[in-house]
Amino acid sequence: MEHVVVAVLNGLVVGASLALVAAGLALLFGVLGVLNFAQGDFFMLGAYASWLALSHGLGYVAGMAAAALVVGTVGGLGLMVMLWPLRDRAHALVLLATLGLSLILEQLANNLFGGDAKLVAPPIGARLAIGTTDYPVYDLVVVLAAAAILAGGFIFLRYVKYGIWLRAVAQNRRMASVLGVPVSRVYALAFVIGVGLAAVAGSLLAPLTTVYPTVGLDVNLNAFIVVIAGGLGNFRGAAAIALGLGVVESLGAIWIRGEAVQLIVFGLVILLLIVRSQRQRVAVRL
Amino acid sequence: MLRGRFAGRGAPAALAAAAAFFAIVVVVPPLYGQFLPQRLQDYLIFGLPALAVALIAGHARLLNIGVGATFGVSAYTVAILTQHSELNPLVLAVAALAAGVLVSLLFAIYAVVATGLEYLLLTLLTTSAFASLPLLDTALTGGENGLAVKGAVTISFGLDPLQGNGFYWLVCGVVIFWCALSWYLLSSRAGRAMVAIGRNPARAAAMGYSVHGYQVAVTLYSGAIAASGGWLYALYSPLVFQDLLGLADSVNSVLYSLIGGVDSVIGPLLGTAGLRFLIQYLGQQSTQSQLYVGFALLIVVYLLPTGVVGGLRQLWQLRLRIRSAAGRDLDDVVHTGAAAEVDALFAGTADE
Repeated sequence: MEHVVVAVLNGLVVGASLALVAAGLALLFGVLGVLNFAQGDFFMLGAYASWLALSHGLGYVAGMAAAALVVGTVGGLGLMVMLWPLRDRAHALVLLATLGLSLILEQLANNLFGGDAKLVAPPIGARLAIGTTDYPVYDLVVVLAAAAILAGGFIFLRYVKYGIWLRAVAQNRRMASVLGVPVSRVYALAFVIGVGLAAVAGSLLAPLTTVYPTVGLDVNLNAFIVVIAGGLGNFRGAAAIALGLGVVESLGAIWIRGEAVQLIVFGLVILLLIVRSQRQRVAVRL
Repeated sequence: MLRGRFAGRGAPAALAAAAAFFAIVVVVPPLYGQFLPQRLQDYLIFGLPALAVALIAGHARLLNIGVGATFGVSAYTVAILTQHSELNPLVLAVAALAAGVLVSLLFAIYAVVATGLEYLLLTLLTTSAFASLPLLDTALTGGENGLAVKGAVTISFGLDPLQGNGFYWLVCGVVIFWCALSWYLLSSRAGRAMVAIGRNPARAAAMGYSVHGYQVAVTLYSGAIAASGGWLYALYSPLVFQDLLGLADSVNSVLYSLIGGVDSVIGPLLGTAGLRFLIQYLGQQSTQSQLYVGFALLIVVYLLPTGVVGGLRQLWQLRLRIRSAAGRDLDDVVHTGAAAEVDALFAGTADE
């Protein structure tokens, strides 16, 4: 029983952080139709922001705020400027452009910070006794923080003016524009929030994963899986699937090998996508 | 570059250009020692999955980023069979192709049940799933350490990939075979139907074409091309490993084809050679190769969205148009669309 509880908690930690990255990815796709291959790199930049803040004597919270504000604003607006000429263009071109950006960011991070893994000490060292296991309290804080951010995101999209505008633009950009929604400002906001969520996730997870230039690569693939399974552009669906995926992978690994669990997850997502594509087909521009 | 030109005005010139290109590829590199043919055989082998991606993307308008699964499964098939003492080169070739086509059958099913973005994501998930397969049975596949290919030159018809030019010519022969067959098929009635389906599936279906039938056919055909690449790779590499099946290898093939141009047969080969050379050269000259490759990708996206061959083709068409309008005022040329074509090329709207 103790193993199960610990596995569920581990799964929630992984799922919560994944949900943040995936939610940003889903937002970018839903509103802008952008498949951002560089999302994992903004996760990496967020992690480095935390490490930098801590190594310069600033607090952990300051690091996370810097990650959200600096990476979110500069990264989001930079990405927007870069992809603006490609709006309404082939998805393949957007994929290529963000892949190019990903390579550049990884190399720049390598040049600036070196290729070695940086350790980030968790801001909370306390541990919680679960049976015979001492479980780190910080891991639980990660889950709660991610839940709070995602709940905030949900409220923002549901009730705040700009959130409603975001949904309007996602549904029908032209109609929203005709009705007076400032589309370019909404775009900018979507970029900043989408990138900012990845940066915050990187910052939150830095003490758990260590920080290195390619830390975002694995996160990226899993985030794509989550976004696909949750429904492209579906903010809530992505968050729910991320949490479910984290828990299922973690629980499954108790009884069967991790690789087999991963394969089963891939199979299930493939089936889900096939079933969903029969209902509603999403057009790709090549 | 030559697609659909056999019956056109420029057919003889296009055929001559293709023949000259491949004659140079076959004859010239061996004159400069062992290094160049070995480097080129690497480009040609990895050009095959890129060609497979281009055929699906350029003509079925389905972006397959899972071709690494086909390539890798074929390579693994050869390695596993040699581990079980099967060294007959013909048996290995047939088995590798069959295994690759079997994997591409999965992609063919995706082509039927999904379109566009969903197809892209399904292929992404599939190659990721295949990449985790070697870890499930490490005794059979070697797991993370990879699997040695046994049999030395016996499995490559007695041709040594590291000595002499025999193996290089075998690779050239396979590539020329697939290119010639692709050109032939694309310029045939079926190929033109495929292009029509890619541009507008609904209209093609209304005209009576079996959209899914053509899509399945082009997927299986391109799967066979990628599988032959995997087979050749296993013949010249001492080891097959997990990464061959994964996303990175698949994405590389997509990059090669997009950079070269998905609308042509020769473009993916040029894209493969160009990008692999760039990565290898910059890797030797500097530790910043990833940075340069990233910028190279951005240059292609913003300045050459139809790929290098697509861009050259547009420039060539522009030249022909200007020449044909030589008797008219230059303003007329502008108004007939020549300037618009340049604009499309550099503003990046040509692939719409």
